[in-house]
Amino acid sequence: MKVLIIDDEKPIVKMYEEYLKTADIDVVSAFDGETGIGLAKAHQPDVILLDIIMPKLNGLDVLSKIKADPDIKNIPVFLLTNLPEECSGDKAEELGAAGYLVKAENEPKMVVDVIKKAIKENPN
Amino acid sequence: MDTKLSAPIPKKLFRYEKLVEVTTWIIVILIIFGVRFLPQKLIDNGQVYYLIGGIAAFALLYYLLVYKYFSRTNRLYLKSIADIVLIGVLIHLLKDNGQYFFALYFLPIAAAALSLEFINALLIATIASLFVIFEVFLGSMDLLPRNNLSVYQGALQIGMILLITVFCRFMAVQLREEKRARDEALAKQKALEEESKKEKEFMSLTSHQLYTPLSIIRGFSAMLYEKKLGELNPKQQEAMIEIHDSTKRMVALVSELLSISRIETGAFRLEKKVTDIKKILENITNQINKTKENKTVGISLDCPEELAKISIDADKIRQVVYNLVDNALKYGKGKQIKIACKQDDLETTISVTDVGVGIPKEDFEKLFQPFFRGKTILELDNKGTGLGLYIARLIIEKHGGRIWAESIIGKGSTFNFSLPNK
Repeated sequence: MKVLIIDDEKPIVKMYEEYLKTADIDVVSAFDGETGIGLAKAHQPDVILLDIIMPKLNGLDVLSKIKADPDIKNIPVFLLTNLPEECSGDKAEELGAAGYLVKAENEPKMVVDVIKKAIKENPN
Repeated sequence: MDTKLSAPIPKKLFRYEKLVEVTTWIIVILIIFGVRFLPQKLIDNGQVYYLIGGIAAFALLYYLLVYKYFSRTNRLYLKSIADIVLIGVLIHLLKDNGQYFFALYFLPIAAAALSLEFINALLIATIASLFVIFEVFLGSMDLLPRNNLSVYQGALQIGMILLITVFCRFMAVQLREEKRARDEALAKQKALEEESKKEKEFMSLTSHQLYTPLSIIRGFSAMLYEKKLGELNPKQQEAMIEIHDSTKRMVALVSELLSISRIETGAFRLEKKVTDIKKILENITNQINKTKENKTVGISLDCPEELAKISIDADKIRQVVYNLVDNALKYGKGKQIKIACKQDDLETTISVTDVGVGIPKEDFEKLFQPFFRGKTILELDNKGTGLGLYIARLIIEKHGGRIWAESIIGKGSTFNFSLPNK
């Protein structure tokens, strides 16, 4: 199981990295969208966790780039953000996100559950 | 002079104005040239040249000077008077046949009435009427070649002039009014959209700023608490539990404050759909009964067999019911909780009853205010935010419904809300 985290907030990335490792999930992380897309192609993770508010390329732009790339478009992408769902939920769904998780409202344990469930449902 | 004229002019009115204006000129030109081909020589050559020269000079002056330096109102005013003078001269030159062309007067009058304020339009009409009186008078005195215009005909024509003025004025006012109402509605909608957009931007920024550090604290505290980062000694573990609980409370508080702000500022919209409310209640009951800690309490549902579907925002109503059940679980002393519903012709009422500590009567009103914490509630639990019932009230009121409490101290409480069926 391998997860790619794309988030500019370093402590958040560190926290999820640590947590996912304890749940036996390999983690690759990127602090910006461009690097994230590159890593997604190179590592072919099972799930991508994507932040929305990031400098340069925002999460929704990254999502539409991922969905437009045949190499990586089938990887389920979860938006893991601190924006309320009302702000970007509809847009994310339209762009083909697998889910929308608000970081502060979901404990890391729940995030792990969501990841495991997604991998189970999408075994490629 | 007239502020109303500075308001945007409806396109329709512009079209009418232009139509009348162009028609006037075409008819005048047709007459001037047309009469030349009649067997009778109605206007002699010299007069035709004067007329054409006059029109050309006026047109030149108008577009070079008047059009450039005069305000729209004054321009229209000048043009209307010039039109009337021109038509008067033409009718006069046409001698006996002039009476057949009298209707030409109506055109500049109509144009003036469409474009000018009532008082100015009336002035133009008066000038035209004076022309008629002048002609009747001079004709009767044999000072002008007779137009065969009797006093009776003159009066009829003046009557027509006034009627046209009033009618066109009325039409112009109507058109302007329509346009103004449309513009206002559009501007209002735009302002609302702008407001809602700004509000949303503010909300997303605020929640992002507040949530980001909180999510970091919450994540690391969860890791420490779950011993993912190694064993803690008992004292550290105790401290960790407090930190973890407080963070959860803080997140709940921020989330509720954000919800309230969204509702109060209007950035929050209901997405109403015709919904089977019974199904929602059944789902909630099953869900809560499934969780381990509630198994001992047990929630019963009492709903009539037939319950008509109603138009609501299902997610928001679910949130309200969860909130009421959550309170009942907290303050219900671990005893049975009952959800009931009933429906009449107008509304559907849902109630959540516990057999808990109860609420003093004087607190009933304040229960649904933000940050209100009842005394008995504070004794039982001090971890709530005091916002849940306020949010419930806002959601129910947004639906056009009402929410209220009934309680007897020591026996329990019932929280009810009703929603309009349509």
